[in-house]
Amino acid sequence: MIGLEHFLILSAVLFSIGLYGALTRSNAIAVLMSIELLFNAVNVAVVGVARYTTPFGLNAENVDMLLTGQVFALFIVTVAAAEVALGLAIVITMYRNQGSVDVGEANTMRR
Amino acid sequence: MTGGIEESGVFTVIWWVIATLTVLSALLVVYLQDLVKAAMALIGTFLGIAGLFVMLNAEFLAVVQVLVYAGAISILLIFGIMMVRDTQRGSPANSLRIPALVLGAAFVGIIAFVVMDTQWNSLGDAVLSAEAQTGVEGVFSDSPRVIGGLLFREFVLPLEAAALLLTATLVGAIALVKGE
Repeated sequence: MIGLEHFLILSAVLFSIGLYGALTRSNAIAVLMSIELLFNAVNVAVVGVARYTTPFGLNAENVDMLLTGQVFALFIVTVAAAEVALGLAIVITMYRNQGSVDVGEANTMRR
Repeated sequence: MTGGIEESGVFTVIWWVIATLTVLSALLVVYLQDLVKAAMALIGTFLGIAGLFVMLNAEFLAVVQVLVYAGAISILLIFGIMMVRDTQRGSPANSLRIPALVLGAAFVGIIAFVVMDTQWNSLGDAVLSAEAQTGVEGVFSDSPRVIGGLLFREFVLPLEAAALLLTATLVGAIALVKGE
């Protein structure tokens, strides 16, 4: 039977794959893609905890608050979308200025 | 919250299939040298996570995941890859490979230990009144309506902040890319 533990460990596995990619990739866009993996792994953990655990003082009136975790995940999605748009803008600017998107070579933000 | 489809063996099998596919395509994202192929694997990961959201009774979030991640963000990334003609050189791994591998394995190990060791305050075992029990089932079978209510009542301030954030991002991205 699948429980909270399965979702949390799967989330940890996805997170560490994304972490590995973010640390080892040298292309800036590949780093951005790995960071998207991190966001998604966290979302799985947040929604899993919201689905399987009981909030303190749960009763018939405040039962809506069970979905707070899903609302939280929605905001994470919003922030991730903003992050990737700005990240790509920075990468494109970097490519224009330096002719390369290698994060190892990027040691200045100006020409 | 017990009983029903989540106790069945089919649920377990589907979970393992989706989890395996998600992890495999996530591995492809960090392994493939061709960034366009890596972006395709990333779409696979996003779709797998949308499947996991369906299994967690978060149907609205699953739809948002497909629309925003598999639809918009991946297309944005592919546009970025195409605009930056640096993909053919590939993305060779740097010297952090071994430390990052150790860090990732240690992270999974620690989280797995903590998760298994924790006494979770499970929703299935909770002692609830009959009224609250029907309320819990109603919330999870009708989650989009409840999320809408939460967003525009309890979380209206973060919602407006998110709108502000998106506007600022839009302006900032245009200002960055437009140049002088």
